[in-house]
Amino acid sequence: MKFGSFLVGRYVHVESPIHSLDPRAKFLGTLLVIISVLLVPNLFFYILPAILILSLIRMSRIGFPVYLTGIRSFWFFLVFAAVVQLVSVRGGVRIFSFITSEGLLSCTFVVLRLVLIILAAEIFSMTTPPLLSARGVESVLSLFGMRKLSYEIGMIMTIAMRFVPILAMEADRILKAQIARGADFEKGKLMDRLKRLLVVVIPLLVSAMRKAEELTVAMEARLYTGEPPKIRYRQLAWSTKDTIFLAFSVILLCSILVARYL
Amino acid sequence: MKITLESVSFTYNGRSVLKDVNLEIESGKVYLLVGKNGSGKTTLLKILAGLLVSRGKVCVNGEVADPISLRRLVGYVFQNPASQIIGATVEEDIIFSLEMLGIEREEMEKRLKDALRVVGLEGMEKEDPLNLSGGQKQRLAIASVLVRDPPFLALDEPVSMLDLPSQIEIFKLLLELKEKGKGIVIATHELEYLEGVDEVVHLNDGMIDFRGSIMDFVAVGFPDVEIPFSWRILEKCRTCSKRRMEDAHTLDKR
Repeated sequence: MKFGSFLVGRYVHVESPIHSLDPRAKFLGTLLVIISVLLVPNLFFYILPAILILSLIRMSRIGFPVYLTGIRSFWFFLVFAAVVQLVSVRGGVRIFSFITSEGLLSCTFVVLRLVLIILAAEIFSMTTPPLLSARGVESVLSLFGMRKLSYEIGMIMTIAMRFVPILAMEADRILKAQIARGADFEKGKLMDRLKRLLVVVIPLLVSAMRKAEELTVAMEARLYTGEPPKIRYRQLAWSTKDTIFLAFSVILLCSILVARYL
Repeated sequence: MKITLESVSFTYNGRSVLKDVNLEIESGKVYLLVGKNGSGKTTLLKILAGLLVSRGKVCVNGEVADPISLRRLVGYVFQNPASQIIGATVEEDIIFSLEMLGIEREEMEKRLKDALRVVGLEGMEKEDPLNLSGGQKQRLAIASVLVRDPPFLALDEPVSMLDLPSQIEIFKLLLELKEKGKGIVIATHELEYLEGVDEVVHLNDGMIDFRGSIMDFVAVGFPDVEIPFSWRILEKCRTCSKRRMEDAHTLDKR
C-alpha cells in the first residue's frame, strides 16, 4: 500500500507546448472536454475526446505511466462504479452469472467516461503550476465580476491542490511508521483491514489540521490578507496557440452535441 | 528603529508560556535567543513578528504596533521550513510576499534573483519545493523572507537542517545583513559562530533571566545551553588577562 503515488493535483515540471498554454485556456478547454465526455451519446463517440486527450498527453511530454499512476489512485472508485453498472444494468445476452451484455456495455461506458475525465483533469493539474491554475480559474471567474471572491476561490483551490500531495506523503509516512510498530494492513478480511486503517486515518486527520494551521500562520507571515494583489509577477498572456487549443475543445463539444442531438 | 516588548505575557491552553517579558530589539544588532525546549523562544519570536497576539504592549519606536504592521516590519523564518512553503515552485514561493506588498514587476524579478543568489538556490526557480532537501527548504524559507527586505528578522532555528559549511554561510549572511542595519533575532542551539552577536537573551520557563554580552553569558554558564569549547577557551583567556591586569594594578599600588 502506498499513498505517495497519489499524484493527482501534483504539478510536473517539463518544457512542453501544453505547459506553456495560458491557464485560462487550459481551464476553459478542460471544462469543455469534460462536458463533452459527459455528453458522449454512445461508446463509439468516445473516440473523439479520447483522441484529443491522448494527443494532449503526448504533447505534454509527461510519460503516460505518470498519468496511469494518477488513475490507479482512483482504482477503488472505478471498480465500485464498474460493479454497480454490472449488477444494476440488465438486458441483452447473459454472458456469465448476473453479467449481461447490456451491463458490460454500460460498465465499459461509465469506466471509460471516468478514466477520460480523470485524464483531462490530470492534464490540467500536471501541466499547470497550482498558483497559475488558480490564476486561470480566478481570471475566468472574475469575468463574472466579484474580483475578491474569485481571488479567494483561486487561493482555496491553490491550497487544496497543494495539500493533496503533502497529505499523500504524510499518509505514506504514518503508514510506514505504523508498519514499523508492527501493524499489518495486508492480511485479514477486508473489513478488518479497513478497521486497522484507523490507526493511519486518525493521525492523518490530526496532522492535516495541524498543517492547515501552520499554513495559515505562514500565509499571514507572508502578508496575506485576503485582498487580491495589485501587481502579479507572472502576467497571463493569451496567444494564438491558446486560441487553437480552445478552438479544438469547442469543435469537440460541437461534434459531440451534433452526434447526440442530430 | 526599535521594537520594544513591554510586560508581554502569553498563555496557551491554560499554561503560561511567557511571563511579563520586557525586551528591546534595535536595528543593526544581532540578538540570540537561547533556552531549553519549551522555554518560550518560538512564542516570543512569533509575538515579535505579529503572528501571535499577547497581553502587554509591542511598540515600534515607542508607539503601540498592531500585528499587521509588525508582520510588515519583521520577517519570520519558521523552525520547520516545510511549514512555510506556499508556492508550487521555488520562484512562486519567494514571489508570494512580494505580490502581497504590491512591488513593481521589474523590482520583483531583481529581488528574486538576488535572494536566490544569496541563499545559493540559483537555477532552481522551477523546482517543486516539496522535492528539495531539508537544507534547501531552509534556504528557501530564508530567501522568502529576505526577498521582502524587512528591517527586522526573526529566525527560529534557521540552520538546524544545514550542514556545517552552509551554517557558516548563513551566519555570515546574517552578519552582513546586520551591517546593513537590520535587527536580527535568532533562536538557536548552534552557538559556534557567534562573533557578531551583540546580545544573548536567555529564556527560562517563559521569563528572561539573562541579558548581556556573549562573554558574560559564557562566564555565567547555564546548564540548559551547551557552550562551544572555543568560546569557553576565549572566556578563560579573557578572565585570565583580566585577573593578570588586576594583579599588575595591585603590584603597582604596592
